[in-house]
Amino acid sequence: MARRSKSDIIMDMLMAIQRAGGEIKPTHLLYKSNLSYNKMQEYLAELEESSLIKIKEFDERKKVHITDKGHFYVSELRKARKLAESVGLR
Amino acid sequence: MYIGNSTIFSFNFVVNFLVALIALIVAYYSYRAHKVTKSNEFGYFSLGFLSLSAAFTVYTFSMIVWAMTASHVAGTLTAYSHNAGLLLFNFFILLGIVLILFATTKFRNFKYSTYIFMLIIVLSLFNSLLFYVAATFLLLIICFNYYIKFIQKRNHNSLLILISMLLFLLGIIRFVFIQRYFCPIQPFLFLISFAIMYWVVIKAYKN
Repeated sequence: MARRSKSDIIMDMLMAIQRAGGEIKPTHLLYKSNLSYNKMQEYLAELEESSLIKIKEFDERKKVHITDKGHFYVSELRKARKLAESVGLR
Repeated sequence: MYIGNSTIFSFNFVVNFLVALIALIVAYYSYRAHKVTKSNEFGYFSLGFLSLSAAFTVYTFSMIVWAMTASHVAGTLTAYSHNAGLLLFNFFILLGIVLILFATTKFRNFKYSTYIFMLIIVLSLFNSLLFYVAATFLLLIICFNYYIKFIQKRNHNSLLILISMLLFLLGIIRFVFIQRYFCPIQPFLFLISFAIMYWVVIKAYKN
């Protein structure tokens, strides 16, 4: 299996949140995005800083939410992937 | 490209302007993809089409200056500006082709490849035949690469991109169409080539 690029990992994480209905538990995201715990924490911090996700806490339980900007980013990334495929950049 | 009577001139002017516009749109969508993916390939592809757009824009303006001035005698300001326009056209075309080559192929030694291609660009500016030979050679590599991709994937889009690049290659081989009678064919080939590229890009982005 080819090594995933950073944008591939971000896409996988955001799509996992989308598929779960817009919010997901960090543990579920961990195995769905196929990352180590430390790596996932790094990516979560980066995504939150870019306002693509929000981490909310209810009764000491964390949940990761995708923002509107996150939804838009996924849609742009999908188009970019399709474009790469179409013009032979992948 | 040859500036002949007013009909051919008007046709060339409109077609070159359209080609510049289409190249700019392709560059914009590639830049949008680059902004999201941060991939170098999209960056080079976008800059490549921006450079091609600049080439055709410069050429269009050069044609306007040529047409609007009465004296075309060598040594006059019109002749100098027309020659400068052609020189810039050659430079931007080659730069665009090199950038598209970087985007579509994987060079093992990027640094030395860049030096070699910059040398080709500079040398080509001194000799128009060298320019066409260099551009043809680089486009042949791009076409061959797209042919390999088409053989591997065998899908509609890879065939369209291959056709688009082949038409661009045909348009660049200027000496085939240098006779006055065939003159409008070259910009027309560029237009079809870029229109196909535009169609593939828009289809990918709008669906």
